[in-house]
Amino acid sequence: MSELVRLMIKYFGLALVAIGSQNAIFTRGLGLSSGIRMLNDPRKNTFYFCGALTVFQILTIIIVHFSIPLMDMIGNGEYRRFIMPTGIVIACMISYLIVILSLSKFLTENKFKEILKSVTSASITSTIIGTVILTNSQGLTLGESIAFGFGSSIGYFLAMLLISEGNRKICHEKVPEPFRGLPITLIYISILALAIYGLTGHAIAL
Amino acid sequence: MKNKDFSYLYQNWDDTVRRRKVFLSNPVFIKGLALAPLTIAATTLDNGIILSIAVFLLLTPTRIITSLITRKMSVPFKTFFYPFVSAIIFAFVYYYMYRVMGSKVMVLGVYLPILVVDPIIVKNFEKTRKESVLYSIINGLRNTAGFIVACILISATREFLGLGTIYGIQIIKAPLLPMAQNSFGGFLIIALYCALWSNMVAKYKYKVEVEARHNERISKIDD
Repeated sequence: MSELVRLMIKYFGLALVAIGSQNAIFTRGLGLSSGIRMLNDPRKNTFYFCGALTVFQILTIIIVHFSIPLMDMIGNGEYRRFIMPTGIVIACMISYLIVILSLSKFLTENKFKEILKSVTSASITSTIIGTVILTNSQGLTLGESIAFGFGSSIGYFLAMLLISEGNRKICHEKVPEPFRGLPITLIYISILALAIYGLTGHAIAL
Repeated sequence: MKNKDFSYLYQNWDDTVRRRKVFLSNPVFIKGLALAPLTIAATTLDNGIILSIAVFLLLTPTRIITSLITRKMSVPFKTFFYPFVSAIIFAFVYYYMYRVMGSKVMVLGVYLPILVVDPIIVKNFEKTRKESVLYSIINGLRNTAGFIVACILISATREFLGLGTIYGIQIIKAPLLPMAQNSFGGFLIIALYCALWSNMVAKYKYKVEVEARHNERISKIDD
């Protein structure tokens, strides 16, 4: 029992680190371009996108974890770092197939069509690739990687909520014309990133 | 620039914007692509050069191969095919860069591998418009040039402000803005560049419009 509690605390701690001090957007900048594009695309829904991202993140971590021995068959692991992105892209494809097949069974046709665009966009982003490479390079176990990946996706979701809400509340008429759009959004993100840096007090290693 | 050129630019403004990727539709400053590597990893000119080389070797070949193969593919297939092609090309590019540059390449951590899914490389998978090979080459090179200009500007500025050096050469003793080396400094510097760029584009557009209207009036008087 105490072992289980210890593990739970450990995983919870890792998830918190991924949400806060190693936030995908504010600290690592992962998925920023896709996120900003999503905010400007009315066909994509932030909730569906981030929900799908969380599922894809976890599925991809699991698939990559079990496919590492396959990758290591090429050159006894010497080339792992070079072929890892290809392996992750293939894992994302498998995750996408699993999710789409499951959704098509459980959802009505209209609902399926409504969320398909957001789900497809979320299936392969730099947040997923970056997090999977990070967990592998840090030598995390499967459980730790899942906890970190889950935290990373939740952190991304919270960051996107903050950015979209900030974007909504900025009075664009009062912003000088050259700063409207992308520049003011980046300045807003910069302030939030500074606040997180103020809380954690240290920069991340690349 | 000749007066008739302004009239031509004004009449074909959308086409001009699409063609001039370095200035009028810069992939970084105007479209906001490849922000992750630039905000976090492009802290020195050295890193900026490595990122530029990676994009140069990755972007155009990916565009060419995908334009050849994906013509009849539907969007979900394209979504994965673009990153798959770029990931395979990346494996060779990364290996080649590692052999030539050594461990310097590894300093960039996850920010080189994530280029394979960055919107600057795989950005047009949602477009239904078919691309010819020639168009892919030209468009790929234009995007690469736009990225390189932005990357060099951002990384040099961040190195100068954050460390007081440029390409490792000491310019000033004390750094002016040490926060330029952090993520929030990166966001801020890119935001300022974006604003500056938008302002220059707006001014250029205004100049083209004024000159074109002036030419129109003169030609009417001549008639």
